[in-house]
Amino acid sequence: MSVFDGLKFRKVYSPIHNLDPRMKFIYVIIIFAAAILFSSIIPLVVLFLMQVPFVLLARVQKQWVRSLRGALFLALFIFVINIATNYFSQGYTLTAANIEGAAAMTLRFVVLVESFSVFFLTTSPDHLGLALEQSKVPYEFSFAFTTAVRFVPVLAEEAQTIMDAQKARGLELEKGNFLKRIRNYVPVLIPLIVSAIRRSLELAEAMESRAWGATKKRTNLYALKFHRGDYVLLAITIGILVLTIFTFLYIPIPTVSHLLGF
Amino acid sequence: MTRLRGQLKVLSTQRNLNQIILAEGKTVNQTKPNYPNKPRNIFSTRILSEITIFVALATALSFIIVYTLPQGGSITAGSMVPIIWLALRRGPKIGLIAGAIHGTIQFAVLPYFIDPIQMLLDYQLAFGVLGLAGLFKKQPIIGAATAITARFIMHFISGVVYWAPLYVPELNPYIYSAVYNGSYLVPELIVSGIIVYLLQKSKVLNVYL
Repeated sequence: MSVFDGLKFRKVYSPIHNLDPRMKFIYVIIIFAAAILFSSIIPLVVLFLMQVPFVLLARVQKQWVRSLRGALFLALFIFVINIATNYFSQGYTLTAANIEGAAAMTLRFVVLVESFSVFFLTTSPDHLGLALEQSKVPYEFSFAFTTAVRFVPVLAEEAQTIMDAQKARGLELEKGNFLKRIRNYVPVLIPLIVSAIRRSLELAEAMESRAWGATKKRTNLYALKFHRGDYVLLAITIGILVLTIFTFLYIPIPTVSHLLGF
Repeated sequence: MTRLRGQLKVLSTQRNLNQIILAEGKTVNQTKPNYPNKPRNIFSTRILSEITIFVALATALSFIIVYTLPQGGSITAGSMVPIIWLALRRGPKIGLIAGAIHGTIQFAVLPYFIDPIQMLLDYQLAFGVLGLAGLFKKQPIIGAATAITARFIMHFISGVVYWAPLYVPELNPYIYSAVYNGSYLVPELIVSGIIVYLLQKSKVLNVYL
């Protein structure tokens, strides 16, 4: 069940977690714009390294590395295909510049994935729901999002329990060919779906008993406000933006292979 | 009910039976809650809670890997089945909304982002169109096939327009997109089709409606 640890709902307090999610979102958008602008490797490495203090400050290194590993498959795919197409289209020769170009493409992908990943790792579903609500998203949707995220570990645990129970009755989930495995999976899925419906009935009753949707305008105990940390991040974001535009317009960026003299 | 009866007995051992029957009658004929100026919500509470739970179920299933393909991809344990199932049960509109929310959560888990429209195509719309299964309530398998084909089309478009030019500029974008997306969606289509067929046979599709 280690996969679900990342989704476990827990309150974490760190300078990054306490920031306004809207401000963090703007920061991610700026990183995204910068990564799209540059296609050489040095600024992309800088952009990648810029997220490391962010991650360390929020103490989410473990989850961050895990999401890096998740993106690794597609990143490798991109790298290999880039190299292969270069290799075959240029008459079976491979230059250092080609490898560097492929690496830059891969790194750009990783930077984009990681910046969003950091955003979601450091924002609790509660904050995200609040931010959605304050951006005039209908409350039904933000409620469904927040509550679904909270229910994932519960249902995963239930799936594990049902699997164990069926295994104890002699169901073999890890044996047989492809088709047999899927057939064997159905005795797990049916109890899971039925219990999910019953859980949804319970949830509906709990919501009704708390007068869900009884009032037109909902009020919140907590409201999102910009604090000092948010203004600091705003300053950093504007700095990155200005630096990016300046570098893009006026400074020619050398490639690594050029610097090394290939 | 039994608890109520017990309490009444304890409270009034000497009273006549009529009161107990009256009290029980009140609990049996529950009146619906009637708020004076109830605003019109988008869904009823039942449907909203079903959307919530099924999105959570789909997300939980998307982490369970049944079979690992030789080239490294993996097939999840029918992670699209709950959304398709909800669409078959409640109609395409509900399925679409549930799919879009599921897509947003998938984005939060592993965000492949290059462009806002690409994000919509790859997550919200791609999972949202799974709700199209609700158009074929009588033939669940055709519904499932339609839903997953529609998802493939969404991923295919985003692959051609956004992924291929950005990451593999030298390759034919149509071939690249079809091969990459097909490599995991075709097995998923087979898995989901079989599971939906078996679910339909077991008559669990319309339980507790």
